[in-house]
Amino acid sequence: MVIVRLNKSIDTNKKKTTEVMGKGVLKYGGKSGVLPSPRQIFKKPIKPVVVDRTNPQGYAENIPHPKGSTRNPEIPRPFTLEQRVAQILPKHQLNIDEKLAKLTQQGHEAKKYKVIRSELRKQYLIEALREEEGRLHKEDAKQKTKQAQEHKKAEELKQMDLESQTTRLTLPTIESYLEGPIMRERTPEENKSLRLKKKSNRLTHELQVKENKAINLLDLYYESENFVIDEERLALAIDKAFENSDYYASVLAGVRRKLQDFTEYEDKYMEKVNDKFNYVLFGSAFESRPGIYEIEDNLSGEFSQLAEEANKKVEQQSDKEKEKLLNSLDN
Amino acid sequence: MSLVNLANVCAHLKNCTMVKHGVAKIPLSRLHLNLSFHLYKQGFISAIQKGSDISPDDPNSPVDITPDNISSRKLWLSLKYRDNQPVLSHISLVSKPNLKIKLSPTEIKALASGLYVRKIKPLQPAETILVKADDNEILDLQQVAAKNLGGMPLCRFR
Repeated sequence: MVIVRLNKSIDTNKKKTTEVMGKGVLKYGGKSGVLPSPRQIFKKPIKPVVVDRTNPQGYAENIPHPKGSTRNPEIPRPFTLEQRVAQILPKHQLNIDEKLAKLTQQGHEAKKYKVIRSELRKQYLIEALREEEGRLHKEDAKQKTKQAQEHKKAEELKQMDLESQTTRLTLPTIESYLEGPIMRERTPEENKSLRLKKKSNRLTHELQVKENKAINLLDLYYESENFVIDEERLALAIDKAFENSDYYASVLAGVRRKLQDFTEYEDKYMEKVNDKFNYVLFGSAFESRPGIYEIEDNLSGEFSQLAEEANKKVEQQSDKEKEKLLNSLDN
Repeated sequence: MSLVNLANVCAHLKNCTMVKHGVAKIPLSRLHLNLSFHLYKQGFISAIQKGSDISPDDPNSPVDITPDNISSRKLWLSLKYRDNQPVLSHISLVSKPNLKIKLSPTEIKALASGLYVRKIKPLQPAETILVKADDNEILDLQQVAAKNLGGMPLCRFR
């Protein structure tokens, strides 16, 4: 805002424009001077006031208004800058040159300086008023731009809000969330599939257990060949144990040798692993004995069926070869 | 409602604020959600988000809470700090799992108006005491006093 230092002719409020210097400087923090607070120099609007019809002012219908007042606020009439300038520089007055010439004629040399000073003040005032007018115009333009921008932004937000409104309206609040159940229970379909899954898991586990049991039982059966179950075998075992007194010593030596010879141990280990693989893959090769799968196939008849099919094929092939041989002999 | 779990949550929140964590995750349950909501309403935390063990959920793709994922569902609380100090400076249990305190409506009012009740320190300025009211709602002390109900004080925070 332009700060105008008003002169005596237009200064109506002397206190406000008092410049603080010299005396009482310390009162203002030791500053060399304090400028007066800026104030409006146009007492009346310089352009027609725009009335907002959407927001009516004044007294309501049933409310009486005080005497001497109006029901609706009076709209101030504009007092343009040109009118103000015309007031400062009236047309009927002489211009500065004429005034000075007149004063020279009359011999009032001292008055000439007063006239010059007064003229200067008027010019400065007009200049300040024009500057202020320009500033107000700029402010108006700025305000309008700002309003337009705000309007545009509000429109955009409204548009965005429209898009997100459905999401916003359907999102549960924490209160509503706390009212209902926190967890969604399983649907009947989900329950059914879960039951089936559990059942299949249980059956698979049971099958695995049974299979392991059968394998263990078969192993035990094979192992039981070496068990001492009657007197004859007991006598044999005792004889074997005592026929060579160095039996345990030799076993111990064998173990030591095995430990020392790592390659041999490794071979044995690999053999064992291979046996295990064969056992898992083909259900046999446990010390060249039939495994559980072979026995299962035999019991189910699948093995004999395969054997029959293979025999048939071999017979057919041998028949063909015989025919070929006979044909070649005939030729 | 488990006071043991609530105690764990209180301790966890206090630990998180002491080491200046930005977010804290707590198991999702009705009680914890109530506690979080009260913390949020009183301005002790800045946000509550549902999420998994790993991260908060994307708001655009909400996840259903089912019996299959309930154990991994968490509440992610955004903690507040001011001048490098936690806004939630203190949180602790009032009733303990092995010492549950039941207060009558008169005692609740006395506690709310600044009196000691059975060695429970009165409500301090800017402090909240959560109470499980007689109608099984979880409210703050002032609300319970206004409703003229009794209840079990659960925890206090400031």
